[in-house]
Amino acid sequence: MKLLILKSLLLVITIVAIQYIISLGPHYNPSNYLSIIESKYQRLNQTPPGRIIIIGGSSGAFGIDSERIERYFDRPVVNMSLHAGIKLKYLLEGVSPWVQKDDLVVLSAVLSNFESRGDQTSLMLLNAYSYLSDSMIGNDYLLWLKVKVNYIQKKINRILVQSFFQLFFETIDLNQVERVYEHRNFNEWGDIVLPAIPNRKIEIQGTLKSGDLLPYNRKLLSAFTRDLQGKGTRLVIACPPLYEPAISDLGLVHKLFGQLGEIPGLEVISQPEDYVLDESLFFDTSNHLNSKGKVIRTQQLIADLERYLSAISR
Amino acid sequence: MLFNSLHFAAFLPCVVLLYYLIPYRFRYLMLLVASYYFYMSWKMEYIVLIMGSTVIDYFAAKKIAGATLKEIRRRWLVLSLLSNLGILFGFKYFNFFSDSARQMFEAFDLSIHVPYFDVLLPVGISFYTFQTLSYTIDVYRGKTQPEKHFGIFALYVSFFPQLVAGPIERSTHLLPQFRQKVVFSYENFRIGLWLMALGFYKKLVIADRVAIYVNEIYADPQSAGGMQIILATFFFAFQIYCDFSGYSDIAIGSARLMGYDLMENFKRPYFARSLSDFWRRWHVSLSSWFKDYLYIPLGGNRKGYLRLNINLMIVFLVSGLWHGANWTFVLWGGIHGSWLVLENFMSRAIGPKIKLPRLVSIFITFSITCLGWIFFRADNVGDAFILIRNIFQPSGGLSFAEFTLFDICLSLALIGLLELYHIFEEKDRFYVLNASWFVRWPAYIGVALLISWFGKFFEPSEFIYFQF
Repeated sequence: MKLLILKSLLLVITIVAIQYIISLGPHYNPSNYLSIIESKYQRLNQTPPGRIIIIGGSSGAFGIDSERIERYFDRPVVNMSLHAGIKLKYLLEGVSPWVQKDDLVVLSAVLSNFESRGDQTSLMLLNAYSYLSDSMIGNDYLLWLKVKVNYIQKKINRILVQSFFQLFFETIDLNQVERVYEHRNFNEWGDIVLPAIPNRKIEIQGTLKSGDLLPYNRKLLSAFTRDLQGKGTRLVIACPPLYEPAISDLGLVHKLFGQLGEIPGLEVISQPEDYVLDESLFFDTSNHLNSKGKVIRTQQLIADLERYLSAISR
Repeated sequence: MLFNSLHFAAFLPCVVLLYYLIPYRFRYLMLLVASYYFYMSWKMEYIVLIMGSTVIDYFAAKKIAGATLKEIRRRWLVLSLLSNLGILFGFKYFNFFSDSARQMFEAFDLSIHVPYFDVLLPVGISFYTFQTLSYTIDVYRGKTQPEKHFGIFALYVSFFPQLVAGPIERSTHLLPQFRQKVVFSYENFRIGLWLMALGFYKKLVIADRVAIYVNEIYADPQSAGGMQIILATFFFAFQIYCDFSGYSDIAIGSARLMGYDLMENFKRPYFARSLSDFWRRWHVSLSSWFKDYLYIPLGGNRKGYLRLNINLMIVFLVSGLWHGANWTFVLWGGIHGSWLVLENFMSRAIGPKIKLPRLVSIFITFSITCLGWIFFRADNVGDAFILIRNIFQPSGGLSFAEFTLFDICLSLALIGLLELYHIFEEKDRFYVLNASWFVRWPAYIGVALLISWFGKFFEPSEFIYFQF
């Protein structure tokens, strides 16, 4: 038994040491879209309470003008929206420790996020979290381990490409990021500011299938709402942009919003009809608005927030 | 509970630790509880089916052994066969036959209502049903005595490492082991952990990786071109091998940690030089089951050349149906049966005079198995024929966004590494464990690093054979 334990320990120590050495050094791709997560957390950490914190997927990163909202309400805005693949659990838990009294949390996620399992640690989450310092990940040690393993896997792939693969095949650059998805396109509020580019063929993503809120997600949202209420904060749901050619019937969206509205303490502040936007306002997917679309969506969000804030102040 | 889940990573060490800590006389009980928990973590209700099979076969075997009249013995055997196969038929095949009947009625414009049984297939039902059947048949044949201890017999039916996907153990091999007093053995741990590591390499590094390519190509047969289909089928050959033999390795390794020796289920099947050789290497516990309980009772090779070939075809068609309730599996079995008939004919006509070079015979056998895999993997028979037709169509690029040229090369290299290991394993099953420390330790570290670097951990997929 002693021999087995000793040899196992020796094996584990050797492997951990090798992995540690591999994990040293600069990050494999600092210009990646997801790497903005660190700056977003820095802003969340540094801004005073009373903020409007926007969470969601890339429809929030591409389609909101936070500066305009900040000026209108005279409250700091932090746009934490990044990618729908991060899934609901981590979209919520990711901001939970940082929310303070008098903040307002606005969840504007792609609607399919509410229908699908929101608790999976997706590769998107692991990729994004690899840009965070360990303390930001919190006390979820399993998540921390997954992030590290995923990071090492990516690094090994990169090493293989650079050392062997390129000897035989065309040069490929794993660091290459499409221009519009570059880290540098984010402004200080956490919004993407698109360079002037023509619209592309629109890829339809994240449409509703049944309009049913998954019970697991209902639990997540209920727990998060209770947590916020305990801190003297509120959670509201705003509609993401809806791509007109893909929307034949708003019944499913109303059904979903009806179920979301039944969660105690949670309020849906938007009417889906106000967010159905013309094809010309999107630039590459049915979630990503172009500059013109962003203005329209932001104005609508401001109107919804104003209505809500004045209602609760009465 | 999947072997490749965190749930199992916590479950197994707890079970093994408890196993060695508690007194010997309670071990069977602890393992039985652990096995039922293991099964119930998938779907609680279906434990009733395992318990039902256990009770029926326990008492049927006792009655068979206790009866003196052959007629009585036969009645109890028939009761056991009917109840086990009845459950299997009800859950696995009823809808297949009712669908086929409905399609036939529709073809003849007949509006006859055919019932449909809306139920989820209990995981592992084909495996534990065959295991318990072998027990009652062996008792009937007088090959073994009935197990007197109900708890130990229940453990034989439900032993968690091999419960849901085999190896399908014989009572003569496994039951006596549950009565042995196992003491901690360094050697057992060494073998068990090595087999588990190999299993995880096969499943996480190869099977789950190439599955991405296979799924993409097989999902849309119409758009797939020749080279893509060939590569996808090559990958599927290794996906299914690594998925299933990986499961077997983890199962055998887990049991070995507790001192139990399960039978070897795969013996490097793609080194086979003929299809009959392939079936001595592929899913050995099932092929030997069919040989002992179907082929030989049908007459085997004792009733002439024609009957031998008919028996072979029957066995392989049934084997196809065992795998799944779909005509694709029946055709897969048919291809294997037909090729075996052809091999018999060739060896009778030519005899051992002409012997193909080793590599050529391996290549031919592998190609035939790949042809069979097309039917095995395709969603339906129509898709399989479209894929075969499209093999001769030109194709665009081999890679796509989710599986780049780099991923293809990496997958081929990882498969190559496994086959390289198999060359050594062909000489000695535990080549690495028996080698000197400067081979052994780099191998341990290498396998652990390869799993951690290239394993697909984050979205664990089920083992393919769970559906059977």
